[in-house]
Amino acid sequence: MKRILICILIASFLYGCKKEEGITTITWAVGKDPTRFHDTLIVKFEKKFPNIKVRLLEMPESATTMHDAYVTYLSARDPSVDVYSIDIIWPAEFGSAEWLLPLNEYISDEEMEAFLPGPIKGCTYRGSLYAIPWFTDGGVLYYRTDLLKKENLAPPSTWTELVHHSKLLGKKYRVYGFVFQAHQYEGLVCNFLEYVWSNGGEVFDKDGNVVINSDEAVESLQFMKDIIHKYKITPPGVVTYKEEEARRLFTEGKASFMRNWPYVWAIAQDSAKGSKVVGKVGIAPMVHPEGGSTAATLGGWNLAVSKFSKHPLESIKFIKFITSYEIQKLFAIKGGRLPTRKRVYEDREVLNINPHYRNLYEVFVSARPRPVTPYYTQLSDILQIEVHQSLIVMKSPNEALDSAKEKIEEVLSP
Amino acid sequence: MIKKRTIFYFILPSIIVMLLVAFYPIIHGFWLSLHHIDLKHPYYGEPFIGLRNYTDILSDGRMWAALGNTVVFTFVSVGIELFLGISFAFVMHYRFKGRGIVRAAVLIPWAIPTVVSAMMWSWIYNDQFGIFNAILAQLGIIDKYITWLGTKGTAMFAIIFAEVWKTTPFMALLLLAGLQMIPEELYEASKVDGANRWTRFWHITFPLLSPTLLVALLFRSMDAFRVFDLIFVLTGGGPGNTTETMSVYAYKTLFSHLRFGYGSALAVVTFVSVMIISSIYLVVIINTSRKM
Repeated sequence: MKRILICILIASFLYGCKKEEGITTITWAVGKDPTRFHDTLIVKFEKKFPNIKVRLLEMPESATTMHDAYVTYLSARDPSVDVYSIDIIWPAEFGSAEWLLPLNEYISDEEMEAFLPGPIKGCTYRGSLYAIPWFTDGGVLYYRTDLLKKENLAPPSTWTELVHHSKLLGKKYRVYGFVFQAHQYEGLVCNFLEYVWSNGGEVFDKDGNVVINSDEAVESLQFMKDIIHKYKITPPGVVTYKEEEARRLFTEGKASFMRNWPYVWAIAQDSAKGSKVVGKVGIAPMVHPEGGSTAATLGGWNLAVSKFSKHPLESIKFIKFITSYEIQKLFAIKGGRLPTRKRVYEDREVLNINPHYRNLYEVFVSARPRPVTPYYTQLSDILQIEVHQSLIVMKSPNEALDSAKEKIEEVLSP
Repeated sequence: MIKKRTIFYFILPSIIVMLLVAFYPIIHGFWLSLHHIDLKHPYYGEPFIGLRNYTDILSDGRMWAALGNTVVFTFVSVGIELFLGISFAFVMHYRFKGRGIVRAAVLIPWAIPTVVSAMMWSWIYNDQFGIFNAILAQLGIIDKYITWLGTKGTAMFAIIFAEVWKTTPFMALLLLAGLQMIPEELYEASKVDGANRWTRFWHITFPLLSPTLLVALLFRSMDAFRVFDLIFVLTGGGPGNTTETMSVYAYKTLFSHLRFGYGSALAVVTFVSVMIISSIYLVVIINTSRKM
């Protein structure tokens, strides 16, 4: 009797395991979303494509930890994840490692034209498009509208104005001038490159030579150092700040200016999130030296299909769906994320909720990706160390960037 | 009479599991370190290069700096923990009201996951809002807030402080167990013979505590040498890469740079260093127990 019962149990278990006819399940690895908008996206997709189910695999919040988790899956050729949500600096690395499916044959040139050029450039390596841009990010300058109004000042557009305004406001209102991110991590490179690019410097010249120690770049690093140690408009603790540490200082009302990503806007307008500067915040493009032009480092997340996925066509349907116009518009309105499709920035409903998109469109259209090379993480590591050593006065900017050039050339040499 | 062979068969499953779980990764790691493996360039293949990774390591200034940081971290933190651990152990050994609560409370730092406590400490050390600065300023020890994790000299100190806070309870409890094993009669007998506190400590407590002490030191040194989470979260190896330890460097090489050959070699160097340290301890332990 017992034996018959066990057989029935095993048979029913096996029957339950049998795949439902015609239904494919794909797995989507994506970072944590506090607004729970990802669940809504999946529901909409499954409604439109009833034969495809999407399983959400939530990744840790930190981009670095996500990268390392992805490396573990991909280096083992694990087919259990189909769609990866990847940072703008990973397509070249993962593409070169042959871990991602090139998408060129699934997307026409016109379709690519609809997207912002920076993100497309970041997702392309050696002619292959390895991911579709999903939402974008670019460094911007936040400022205190109330303090500037009191002193009848316009938001600063040059380095000199930033220093001047900071000193004036600092003396009168006892606030720090300018805060940004200078901890030894990826964000430091994002900040550093904005100063370099706006001064006309580059990491590589058009022939691929390493020119990070050019006069322009050294001047930029000197400026970063000066705002901490010479002009003293930035607290020396900035070398331990990531995004949230700088953000907190600003929304607590303790700084007049801040360089950060657009995500801060929603927090700054919400006193429930601890903001003491509701209604007193403005956004502008980052400052540049006289004679230079503003530059913003491109951030943002993109959707790629694993080379080892057993359901590539379904995965591509999924990533095309959630980067479509309607979904990007919804994401901009409900999730506060920057769209990667140019036309969404002209949509009236989107602009109603996010009026700052109007003045920032120029910034997002011209935001520049960090060097698109599979060696980027090693490059970034070198720059992080050298720039940080210069900011904590261990080395002069000249020494730091000469050393950076040497080390980068070593990494790139075969 | 149970045959020796039967006993062997009983232990065999555990030995097999240990070989698979512990030895296989070590052998595989060593095997990887003998090749050039860069996952970013699969077309290059994974050629066998013998000990070339190791000769590169010997001329790698960054590795020596990391090794130095690791050794300093290990020596200083374990040394402080030893001193504090013995003190705490003695305090918890004597009978007093609330001793049970103290013993439980002392374990709290040890129970918090390292990454969580590291995040906590990074806010404690914050140069604007951190309570470390606030308390020191109120006590009059400092007059200006310090950027603990952003200044070259203070960062390592801050990391060691956080490490000692977390792992002293482990030392203390191990040593407490050791203290409790010492028979009371020995102390009573020595008091009758007229021994003072110091003599009692040096001739009774210390020798009988030695085995436990050495085991505690062995565990702590091996753990401290492999420190990763705390440093990765607090400073990312900074400021200016001055707190990077072997584990952090190996991790970055493996997971960030995808250089699995060189990264494995760094891991093997860490492993060998830990083996050397534990061998020294084991020799001392065996000699001490022989003397007894």
